[in-house]
Amino acid sequence: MRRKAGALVPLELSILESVLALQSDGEQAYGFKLAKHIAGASGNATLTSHGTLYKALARMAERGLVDSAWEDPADAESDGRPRRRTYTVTAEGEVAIARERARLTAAVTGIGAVSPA
Amino acid sequence: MTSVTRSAPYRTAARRVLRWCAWYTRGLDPHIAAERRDEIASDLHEEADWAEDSGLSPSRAARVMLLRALRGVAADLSWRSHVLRGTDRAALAELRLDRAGRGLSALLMFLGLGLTGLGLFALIRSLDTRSTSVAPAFELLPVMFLTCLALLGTILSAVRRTRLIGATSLIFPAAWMIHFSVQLLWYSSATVQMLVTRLDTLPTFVIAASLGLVLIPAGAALWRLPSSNRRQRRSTGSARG
Repeated sequence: MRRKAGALVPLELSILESVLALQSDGEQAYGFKLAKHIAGASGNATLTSHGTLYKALARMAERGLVDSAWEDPADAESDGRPRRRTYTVTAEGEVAIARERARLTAAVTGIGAVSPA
Repeated sequence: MTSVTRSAPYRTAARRVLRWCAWYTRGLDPHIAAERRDEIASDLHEEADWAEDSGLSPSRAARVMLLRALRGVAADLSWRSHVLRGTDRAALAELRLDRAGRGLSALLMFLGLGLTGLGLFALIRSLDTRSTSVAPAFELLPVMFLTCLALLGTILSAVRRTRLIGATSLIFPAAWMIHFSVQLLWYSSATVQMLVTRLDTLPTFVIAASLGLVLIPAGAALWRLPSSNRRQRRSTGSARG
């Protein structure tokens, strides 16, 4: 099934919301942290698989919804771990979130309007 | 308690996930492939830290990690196919050319070792004092010469810079080693004697096999000719430009 141009799939919306939530908490949004945040937000114990998560992130970066940057190798080295690739939501990403939320709200309102009182 | 990161189950699981990652990123743009590998390596490390903080045992942490990678296999392959579709034609052609070149080099080494082995085997059998009859020197000399040439060709083929000379040196042994080895072994091997007397098609088989073998060093030599290298460099240049 082809999705509507510009629409977000649920995972993409979850990723964007998680990146924003982590950003607002002043935390870095990187792959594993996002998988953990998404699992926590949805109450799911299972983490998003590597393939699904990084494929979605690559697709979203291509669409300009997120920006990514590799952290300074020196910082990672001083912490004794591999360097992280951190993500930020772009202005286009924020518009996409707003549009998707509006679409979901409209859909819920529509369901409420047709359901018996 | 053993740290998850340092535990054997975690290390084995991480190695498997990284090996899988190296497999599905093979032949992709080196920059894209390296970024994916680095991102997975970082993810595995963070997951191990989290597992340790959560009090998961190393074997449970390793299982969770492997299952997580396994669930993403289809997405990994789909991502690879997407990246490959985006790779331009020149880069793809270069990739295939490089892969074919490496395959041909491996085949050349395999042939060189095989020819050297066959020559050595024929010589050792013929020089064995328990042999049924002693081979005359004029039958030994061609095999000795061809074996030395095959060994030299194999050594030269192992080095990229001298591969053209190595491949050229292997043409002659590829063409004649089977013929002269069969002739030499006729004196010492009852099996060869039986094959020569009973198998009418043996000469045809020897010619066909030798012709087939010659194609390998000849092909490799043509591949390594300076004009081919220039062509290859040009295609690399256009792919990068």
